[in-house]
Amino acid sequence: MKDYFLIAWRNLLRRKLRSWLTIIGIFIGIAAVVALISLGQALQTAVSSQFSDLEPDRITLKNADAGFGPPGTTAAESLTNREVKLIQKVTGVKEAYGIYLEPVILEYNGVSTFSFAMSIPMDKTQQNLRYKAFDDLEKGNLIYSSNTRKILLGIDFYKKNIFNRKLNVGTTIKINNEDFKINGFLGETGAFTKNSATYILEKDLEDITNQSDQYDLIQIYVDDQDNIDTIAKGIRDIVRKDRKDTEGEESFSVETAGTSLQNMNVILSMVNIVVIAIASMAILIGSIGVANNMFTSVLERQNEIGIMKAIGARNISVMSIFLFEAGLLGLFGGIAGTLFGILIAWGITAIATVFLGEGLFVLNLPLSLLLGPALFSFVVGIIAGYIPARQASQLNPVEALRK
Amino acid sequence: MNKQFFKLSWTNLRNRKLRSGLTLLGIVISVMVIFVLISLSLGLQNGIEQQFEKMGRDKIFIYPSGIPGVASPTTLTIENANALERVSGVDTVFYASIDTAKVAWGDKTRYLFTMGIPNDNNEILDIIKESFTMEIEEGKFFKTDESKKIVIGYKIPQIFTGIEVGDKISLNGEKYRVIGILETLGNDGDDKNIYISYNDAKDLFGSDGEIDFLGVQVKDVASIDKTVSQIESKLDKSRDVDEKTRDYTIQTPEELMESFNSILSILTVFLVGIGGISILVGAVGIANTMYTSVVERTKEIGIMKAIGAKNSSITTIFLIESGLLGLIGGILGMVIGLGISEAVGYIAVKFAGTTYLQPVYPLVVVLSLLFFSILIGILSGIFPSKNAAQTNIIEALRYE
Repeated sequence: MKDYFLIAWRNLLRRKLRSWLTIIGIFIGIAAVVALISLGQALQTAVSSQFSDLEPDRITLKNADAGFGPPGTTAAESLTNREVKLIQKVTGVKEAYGIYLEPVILEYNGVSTFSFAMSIPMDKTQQNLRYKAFDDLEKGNLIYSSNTRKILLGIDFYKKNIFNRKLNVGTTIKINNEDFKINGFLGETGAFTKNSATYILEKDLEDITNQSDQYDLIQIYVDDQDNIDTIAKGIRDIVRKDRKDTEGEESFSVETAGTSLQNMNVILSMVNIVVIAIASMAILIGSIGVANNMFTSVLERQNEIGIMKAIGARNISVMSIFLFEAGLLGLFGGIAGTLFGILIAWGITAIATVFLGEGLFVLNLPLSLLLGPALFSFVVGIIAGYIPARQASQLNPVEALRK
Repeated sequence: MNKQFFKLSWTNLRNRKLRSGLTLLGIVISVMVIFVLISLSLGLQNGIEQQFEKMGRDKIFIYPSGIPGVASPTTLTIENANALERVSGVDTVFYASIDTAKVAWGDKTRYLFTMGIPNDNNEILDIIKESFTMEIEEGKFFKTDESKKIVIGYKIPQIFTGIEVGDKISLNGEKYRVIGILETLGNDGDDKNIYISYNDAKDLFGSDGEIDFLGVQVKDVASIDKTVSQIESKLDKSRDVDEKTRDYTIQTPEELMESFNSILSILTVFLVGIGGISILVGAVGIANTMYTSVVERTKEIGIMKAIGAKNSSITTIFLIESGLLGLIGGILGMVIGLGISEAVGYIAVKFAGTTYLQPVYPLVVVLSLLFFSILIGILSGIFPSKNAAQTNIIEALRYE
């Protein structure tokens, strides 16, 4: 076995230029695929962090969307208190409350901007649950039922100079033309939407938008998060029955942390697969190069093969030598490609970090990504070398020696 | 002379069929991938452009900030619309309201987006139909001053199974007669909309002259930019806002199309770039084949030189060989690519029902890809052919 390796190795060295070019072929393909896979994973992580307020014990109910927009807001129908009450009665549900997600106009210093306002429920227990998903505040305090006409703002309002004048805790700004006092700023999160949102008590939001009992989302907390899927199903059944919807054609959706991430990941994975499939064409062509190289080398070495066979080499030995050669070509290309691919991904991540800020785009290199491609290209090499190797092993020694 | 070179190169390629074939395969696959990507992306671009063409280039759309009618903190008003009538570049002003109605038919109740469309005169109705690219599949569109009539979106018969033109349907408890069903508007959300007259919508939703969408047909497309800025200042005045507090967005179809196209272009460049990596690998393959063949034909080169062939002739023969590999690979790649693109287009129509994905392959693309693949062939042949030309005659003749 070791001998086969040695022979294969020496043969590759004998035709250095050709081997190098073949290795480069595999190298380029593997580098592209490794870079794309690792960047794809980094992208997936970055997108997942947009759902950073997902909690394992929370279920979200919203109406089926009719278009593009923030969750719930493009649904034609609103959710009501009656439905909240209905859900509160489902076994396993600890608490449920409605949330408004309303576009508002913030105005300060003569500049106005558009922001999504999210409501904070009026009940103390519900407030505590609601705040559970919040990280520490950057500044100031949370708002409770007694803090009417006070708001919390996302970190963007503190850090970015949106109104051409600095905002601080205690500053009064206008929301839909009514005065509100800033009570605090949320800490930085990976989720862009949260960073630019406005948080306001339910009663206040109902006041300024002239609404009541028209929630955009219902948030539900469960007692036992291990049972969350069963409870989610229970909620789906009850609401479906209440609305007389047909199963599978519900006019609403029930999502848990698991299903929201899953939905997102399905889309991202599809994009990843298309991109990687296109890049894999390069590996395919590289492996054709390996086959080509091996065919040529069988032709060139007919005489040698004839001698080997004449002094007693079996078909399987001849075949093994050629297979190892092809496999080694793949392996070297794979190792070099992996290293280079990681270098590219690392470079792009560094650039992305400069533009998007620290911590959003993180390269994650599992062992499988480090070893997998090299192993894969070794196998690809062997497969590409199979037909030439078989051809070599089946040469007729008499014919071969005559060449 | 040149013809002889070509003949010689061709024979040489044929002499090592297997190797040439495998090298070709590399180029074929990569050209194929690139061709499919480009032709489909151009097709998509075409589809989008046709859609905008139907809409007309002479229109300007105005929305309140946010998502109109759905998630917007403000609305536009009839006064705004009236103010625009007086802008000099404006030919016709049209508008629509968007509300949610509780729609009931049979034993089913659904909440649906309801557009209120002014039907004061036929001209405005035509412009609205054109702007939203609405076509009637069954029945009729609105006539002037009709009331309590409803036109339903393409997907509504799927929600209310069995609904037909002539049926009565309840909107917030009031009865409306279905007069028409639209053809598909190309996206699921819009196909689930319903349409009534603006006056009916006003009554039904108790509106006080609010509108969620304003459209303008301009007199002269050439000066559309000027009209946009005129509209801006008029609307600012009418709404009592300035540049800093502006709460609406103005868009021309041209701008919309450009933003679509630029996203599509970035995507295409990215994908073609990744596909291009494989052509690089193919090129390395050509170089490899050429090097091998130089080594194999050392003796032949020696003889050619001995009987007086110039270095440049040797180079030319090898360059033509590698160029031919590129050319043939390019042609085959495009032929197979064409088949794949057409198949994708066919599948898109047959199974996804979209006519947006019809491949196009302008002559420029075909020719430049062809030129590109010849170039790739020649470039990857440069070093091997130089090697060949510089072979020492004496050494070469001795070579076994």
